[in-house]
Amino acid sequence: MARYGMVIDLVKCIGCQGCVIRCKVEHFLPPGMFWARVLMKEYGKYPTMERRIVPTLCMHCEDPACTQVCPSGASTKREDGIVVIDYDKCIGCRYCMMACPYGARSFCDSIGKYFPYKELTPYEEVAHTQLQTGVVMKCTFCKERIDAGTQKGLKPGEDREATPACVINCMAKARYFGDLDDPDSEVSLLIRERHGYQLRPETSQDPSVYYLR
Amino acid sequence: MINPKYMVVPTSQRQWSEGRGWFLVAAFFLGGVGGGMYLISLYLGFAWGMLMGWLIVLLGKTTAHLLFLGRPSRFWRAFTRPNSSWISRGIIILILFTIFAALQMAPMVKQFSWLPWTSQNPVLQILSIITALGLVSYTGFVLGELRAIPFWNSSLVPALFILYALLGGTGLTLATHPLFPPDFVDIHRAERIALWLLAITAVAMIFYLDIMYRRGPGARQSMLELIKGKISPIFIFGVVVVGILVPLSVATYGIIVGVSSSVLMVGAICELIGGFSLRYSLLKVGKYEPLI
Repeated sequence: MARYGMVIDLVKCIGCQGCVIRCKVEHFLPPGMFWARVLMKEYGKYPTMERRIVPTLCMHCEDPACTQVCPSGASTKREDGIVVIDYDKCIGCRYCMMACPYGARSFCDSIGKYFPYKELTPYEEVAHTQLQTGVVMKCTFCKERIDAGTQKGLKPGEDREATPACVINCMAKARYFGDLDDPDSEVSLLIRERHGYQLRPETSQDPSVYYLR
Repeated sequence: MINPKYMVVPTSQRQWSEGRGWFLVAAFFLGGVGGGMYLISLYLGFAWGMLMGWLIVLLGKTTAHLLFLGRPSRFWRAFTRPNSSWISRGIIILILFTIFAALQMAPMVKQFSWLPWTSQNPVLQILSIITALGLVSYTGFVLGELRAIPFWNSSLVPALFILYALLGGTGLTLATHPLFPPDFVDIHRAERIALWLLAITAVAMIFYLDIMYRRGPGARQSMLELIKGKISPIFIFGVVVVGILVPLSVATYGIIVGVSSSVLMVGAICELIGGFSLRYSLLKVGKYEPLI
């Protein structure tokens, strides 16, 4: 079985937030909720200052703390390494949010509207029918795309239809997706050749998202 | 709106201390005070105190938890993962406590005097003590196992929660004693217990803050926020002055010279305020380490 993972090339990333917006569009995320983020920090002083840009999302850890602490069994890890939340099982205790060192989870208190004084847009109507309130949500590596694509015999990371939306939307082509268990996959080669690193490895959760610098 | 500093600087958790998070703070407080009162009352032989502690847990803590949950109708799912989740373990301990304590106390009620055991039954007493201790400590373990929030990730957190539970239980016993005839509660014994607990709590708190100051940027910032930042009025005034120094002075003076019931009550209410402030400020300053 594959273990899906992502590689983000920080040299290529321009911090355009395209991944953030595409993720919101793909999953009908309500105002204030982000499954993907772009963190930016400035170091030093003019004229030798540097801005560091690091896109983040759920790290789909190999040994995730969120699934361990979940009291209801709503947070689980699939065989392909994707950490998912069963919204029908989630009780909304938010313990998983406290356990995630990457701040990747959001609590959906209310779905809300993007235009407060107007009626729901067709897009928002879909959100209101698809999303649940009172539960915790997070990035799914676009599992719907992966599942539908693999059923058609497509390969996630190579075929657009079976690849997470943030990866195919990245205009700088800074994101790569594929099977970390396959030593010949593009992601494995990049991690090996360019010394890919994980964020906060000291948590011992073995994230499936690697960064290149 | 995107928070530009999210996970770039030590980032506060907000879900367990703001909005409906207040219900969780209340649940932690009520569980501690209720369980603590049951234990202290059992030690003092104060039947009404045991009943009050049990009711606080049964009605107060469970209601506060249900009000906090995003999906309260699915609460029963929280029982399903005791092998890995401290919340599951805690909920099971809570249920066992309410059952064992009810069975232990039942013969004291006239209508249940036909039961074939007494309230002094050692098996039921031991089971209810064990589950009450589990009840007052599990919230500490819920926080203590979280590596993502270094300020909570300490074995001293469960110890502090146990101490504050017993302190709250003693406080509530002292605060409610004027409602009962004078020989119902041994006030002097309760005062001595409070004095010891306050002294141990003060030392444990100093140790805890010192360890957190040396731990890392997230824990240090949480600790500094507690003593110098936005939460400092609640911590310094609520936890240290009202929660420890005032009741410590009252208890010491009460043992050496003797004080009136009303002064004792004020000291006891201060202990309760301190317990609530401690839980709130501890939850409020919990921060994730920055990612970059």
